[in-house]
Amino acid sequence: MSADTFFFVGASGLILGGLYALMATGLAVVWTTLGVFNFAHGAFLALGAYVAWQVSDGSGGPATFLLAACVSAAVLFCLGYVSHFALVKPFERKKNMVLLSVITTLAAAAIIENAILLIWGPRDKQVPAAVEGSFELFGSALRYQDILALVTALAALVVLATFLRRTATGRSMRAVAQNREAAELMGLRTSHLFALTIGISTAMAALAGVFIGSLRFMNPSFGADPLMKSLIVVILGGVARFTSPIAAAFVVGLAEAFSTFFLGLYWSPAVLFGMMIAVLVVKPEGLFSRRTKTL
Amino acid sequence: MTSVPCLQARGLTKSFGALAAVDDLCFTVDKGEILGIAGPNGSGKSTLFNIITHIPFGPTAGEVLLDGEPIHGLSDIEITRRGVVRTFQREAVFASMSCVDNILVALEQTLGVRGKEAQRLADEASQTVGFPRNFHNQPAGALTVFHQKQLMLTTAVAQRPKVLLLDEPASSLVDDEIERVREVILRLNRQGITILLIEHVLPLLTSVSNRLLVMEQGAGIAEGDPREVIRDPRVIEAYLGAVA
Repeated sequence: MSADTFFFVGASGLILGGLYALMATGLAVVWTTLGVFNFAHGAFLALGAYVAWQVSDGSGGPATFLLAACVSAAVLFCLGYVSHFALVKPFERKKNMVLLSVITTLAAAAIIENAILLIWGPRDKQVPAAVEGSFELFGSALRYQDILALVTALAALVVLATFLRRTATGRSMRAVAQNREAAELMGLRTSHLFALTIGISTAMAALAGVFIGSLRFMNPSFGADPLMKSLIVVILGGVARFTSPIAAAFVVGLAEAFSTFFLGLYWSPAVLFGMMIAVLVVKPEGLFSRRTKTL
Repeated sequence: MTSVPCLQARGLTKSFGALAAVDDLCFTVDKGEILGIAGPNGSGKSTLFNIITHIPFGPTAGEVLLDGEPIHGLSDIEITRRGVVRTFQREAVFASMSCVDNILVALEQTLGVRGKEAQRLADEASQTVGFPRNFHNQPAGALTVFHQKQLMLTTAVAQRPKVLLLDEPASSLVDDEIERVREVILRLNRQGITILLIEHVLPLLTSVSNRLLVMEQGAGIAEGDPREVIRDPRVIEAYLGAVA
């Protein structure tokens, strides 16, 4: 393997890792706060991409792409916020809440995918890129859109981390995630904070969707693959720290890129699942986690 | 010295179906006073704090007056803003968050203060309570039970209480820690804070309280000078059962 190829495959892995980090952090935040694994996360990602496609109306360019991404994130934030009251809240405090939420989020995923099919049809689409063209680095051609995806993903994660650490609302969200009872005793509006958590998570999924939809062709069920990768990321990295799924996302991105190069596209999921099973056996709390559950 | 009523409870009742956890309770706490509250487990002491502060629920009937103004119809946050602040029996802390973030969450939520002002209140309260400043950036879950209780008390004091409701601040502590709790309670009281103190550690309770209220099955069965009240036959019977 030449150095050029190594660099190119590595760069592809990092770009994938950035998008998986965006997606998986959203999943992890919901899991650590509500104890719910949101199986509709992939469908929200797809919906985000379709909303952006609709807003951009076939034209590319930085301004249109920025507008499309912002509208998509805003719409999906609102949908995520509302979905708390439909998918989670009616079942909270029930003994089998985890199972019930699996069913409700799977149902939501099916509803969203079919709604996309009804509204936009089955034909493949692509969100027009913000920046066309590519540049050469270490002998490899890198697309501007790929770099934009990586930079935006990292920036969004830094913004989220700062929001959680430095703002009053962020602190309240961390508080409710850690000790719901104490948070309620303190007068924190837990329902609002839970809904906000899902809203932020779906907005991040939308952002990931907009970029994935600009790099690949999209169809109504195209969120299933990123959801599966995010599931692997969350299990591989654990959720004890904010950075755990982010670090794991880059491991998964790089593993996917290199396994695709060396073994082929069809073997790549097998490699990732193999890694996941190995981690579950050897270090079930995750590669980058302690045995705890927190934000 | 003329006594000025600070907190008054009139016919305070909390029912859960047929069970009255607090039953038609009346008492008055004067400004600057420490009212000790004792009673066997399940006698309604913590429920009394719950319904005064509306955390997590208010009374079924009755009135609570703060400086003569009714507060029983207000929300938990509004009651805290008016100056009635409580601590909890169990250490209600956010374990993975830093101690200072624990204090800031409460301040932002109840008083609505943020930034430097919130930090200043947290520092002042830490100094008053004696909560070490170098613990501020430690995760709360890493603290001992004593320091977690100190953190909870610091959080309450930072909210600038007129009336502080302390729910078993000395439970699970050893003698020298109980002595430090006693010093803090007296220090806070000297600063003009009126205190209601629930405690099972009777030497602490009787040594700091100006008056003692003993509850049994939701009702007040004795009230007055702590040394006299603990010798009251009704109180002895409530704690030890009827003498054959």
